[in-house]
Amino acid sequence: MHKLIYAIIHAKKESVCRLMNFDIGIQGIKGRELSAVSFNDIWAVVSDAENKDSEMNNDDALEFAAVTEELSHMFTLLPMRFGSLLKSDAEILKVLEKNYDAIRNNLIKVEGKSEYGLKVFRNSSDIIPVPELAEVKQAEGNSVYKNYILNKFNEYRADETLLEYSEKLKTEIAEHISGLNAVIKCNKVTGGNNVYNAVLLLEKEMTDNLTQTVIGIQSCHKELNMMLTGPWAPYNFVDITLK
Amino acid sequence: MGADIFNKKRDVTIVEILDRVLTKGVVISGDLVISVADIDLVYLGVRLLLSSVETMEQLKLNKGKTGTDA
Repeated sequence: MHKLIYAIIHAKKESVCRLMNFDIGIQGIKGRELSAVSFNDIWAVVSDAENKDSEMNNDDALEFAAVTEELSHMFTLLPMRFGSLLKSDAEILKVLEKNYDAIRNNLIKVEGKSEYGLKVFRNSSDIIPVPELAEVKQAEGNSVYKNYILNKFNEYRADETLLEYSEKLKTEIAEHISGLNAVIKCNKVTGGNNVYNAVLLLEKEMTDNLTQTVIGIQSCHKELNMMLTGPWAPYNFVDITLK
Repeated sequence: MGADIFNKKRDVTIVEILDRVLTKGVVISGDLVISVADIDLVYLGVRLLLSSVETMEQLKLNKGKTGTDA
C-alpha cells in the first residue's frame, strides 16, 4: 500500500488534528481516511493508495481535486499533481525535510490567495479579414504550387492578425486588472475562437472586485465571451519539484 | 449578478479541473504515477484532456528511463 499525497499545507498542529479527527468531515478518494505527515510547520495530507500499477479513473481525479479544494478553504496549501505516490510516511517525511525551504517559500507566495482562470473567446472570423479580391483572382490563375504558397501566406497573415489582436487584448485586460494587485500568467491560447487565456493569483477577498472588473470588460466588449473560473487552489503558481 | 460571469457548465468545469490536477501542481521527481482511465467522461475540450494524458505518459516514460522507483 502506497501513500497518495493531496496537498502540502502550512498549519498549526491543532488545526490539522481537527482535520484528522474528522471534525471537518473530509475523506480521501474511494472513501479512504486522510492522515498527515509533518515536518516543522508543514504537513503533507495523504491517504492510502493502491499499488502503482492499479488504474484510477476520471472520477478519482475529480474526487482528488475536491479534497484539495476543501483543504484550500481551510489552509494555505500547495496542491499536488494527481498521481503523486510515495511508498511510506517515512519517505514523505524525508521529502518534506529535504525540500522544506522551497516548500515554505512557495507557501509564503500563495498565502491568503486564490487562483482564477480567465479565458476570452471571440468569433475569429470577426478578427481575420477575408483575403483581398485581387489575391483571390491571382490565385485562380496560378499553379497548384503557387496557390499552396498563397494559402500558406494567408494562414500566416491570419495567425499574425489573431496574435496582434490577442496582444492588444492582453494589454487592455492587464490595465483593467492592474488595480487588483494580481499576478497574471498568460498561457497560449487553446485555438479556435480562444483569444485570451490566463490564470491570475490574487487575495481571496478581492474575488468580488475581480468579478466586477471582468463584468466591466464584458460590458465594454459585447463581441467577447468571457469565462471566469475559480477560486482554485494555486495549481499554476507553484514552482517546485520535490526531490 | 456578480456570480453570473463564473462558468457553471459542468463539462467545461470538469475540463478545467482535470487540466489542473493532471498537469499542474507540485510534482515529486521520480514519483510513481497512477494510470488514468475512463477518459470518455470528458467529451468537451478533448485537446486539453489529451494533453493531460500525454503528460502522464511522459512522466511514466521519464520514470522508465531513470529507472526510479520511489
